[in-house]
Amino acid sequence: MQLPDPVALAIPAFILLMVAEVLWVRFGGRGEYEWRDTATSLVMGFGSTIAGLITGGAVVAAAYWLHQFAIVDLGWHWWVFALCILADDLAYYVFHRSAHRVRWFWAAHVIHHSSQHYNLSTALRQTWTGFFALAFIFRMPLFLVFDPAMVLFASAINLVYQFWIHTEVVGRMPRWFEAVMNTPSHHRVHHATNPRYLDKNYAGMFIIWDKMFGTFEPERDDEPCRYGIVKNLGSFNVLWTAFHEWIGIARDVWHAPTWRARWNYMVKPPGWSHDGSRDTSETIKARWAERQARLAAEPAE
Amino acid sequence: MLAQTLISVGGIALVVLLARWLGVRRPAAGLDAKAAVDLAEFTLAGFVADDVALGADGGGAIVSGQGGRFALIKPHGSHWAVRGIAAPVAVTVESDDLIVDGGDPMFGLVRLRIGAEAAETLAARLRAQAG
Repeated sequence: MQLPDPVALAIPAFILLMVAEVLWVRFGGRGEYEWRDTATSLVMGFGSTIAGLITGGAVVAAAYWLHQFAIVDLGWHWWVFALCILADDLAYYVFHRSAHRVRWFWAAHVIHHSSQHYNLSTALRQTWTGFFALAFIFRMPLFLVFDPAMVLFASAINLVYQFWIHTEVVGRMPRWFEAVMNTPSHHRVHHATNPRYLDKNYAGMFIIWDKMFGTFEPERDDEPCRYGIVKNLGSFNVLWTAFHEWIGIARDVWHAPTWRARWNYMVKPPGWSHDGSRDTSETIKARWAERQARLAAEPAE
Repeated sequence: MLAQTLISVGGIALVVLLARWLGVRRPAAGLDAKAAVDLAEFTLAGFVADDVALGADGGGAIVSGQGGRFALIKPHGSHWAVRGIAAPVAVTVESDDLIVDGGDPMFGLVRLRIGAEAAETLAARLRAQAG
């Protein structure tokens, strides 16, 4: 079956919505734009599509090769589409959680988090090295159940959905919506470096996976999100943005004292070091919790 | 494919130029001592600030912390970027300015106008940290 490409169809809408958001911010609405940050984000997005064109053929070929071993043939009914979208979103959750907890996958994903701003252009700040990071492997099991064209369509729907949640313009959606779907509020938490918010809300379309697997954290009005990464780049250079974590891995692996340490510098969580000299999200949270406890114990002035 | 590419490139140019011309880039919010301490303690886990040297021209700050730690703060667009400084620290004093090289070439040098005497004093501490 020939399916349309949701991403290609959505590009004009992406542009119009960004223009609308810029105007909204200009005339006093909530949000922020820094033109150099936006330029970096959009160049990263454009480069990502180029990278996708170069490597996409290999992924599609692998998908169809795997599909010949499909364990079931569900056909093209509407409920199969719905099931595929749900399954694809679960696969996305697993990928996304791995992308924050395994440095190899993080090296490709960190690009998306490297902006200290949070607006619609941030949504398009995408990696150039996703194929090199082997990110496609998380969707491979789906090809044993669903037609590859259906899976690729579902993943494109997922990607398009996630565009609009990258904004500060929208506060909170109705409670029933917030309970089930990924929303701007939930995703602001995901992009924040506040210790409370680190490594939370990995959802693509449905927030239900975070609630099921214990990674959900609601946005708090008394704790506004601060965006970026733990060690912000301090640079708008697109090449540095694209490759800085890969360079970091290479340096660490080169200087590691043992083969085990070399392996761990690639697969342990971001911030892991063989001598404990750096911070992981666990140590950041632990120190924050200690500080909160200390402040709470201090007598009020 | 060509049409899609042209639309994408045109869209990028439109949004970036609009963001620049409409002036939605706000300069980094003013950095005072309290804000510098907050930035340093938020960014660097376990950092407890002791003293702040603010650049007079809004160029950033160095926050001295307990345990010989330092936080180097520089403006980055409409935000601030922070680096924890570890030995060795390369510093230069040029009249009233302290120029700090945090060791990250992509982060760049940070020039702070803090006065000649303060610059010399802080430079000595940062170089001693490297020793």
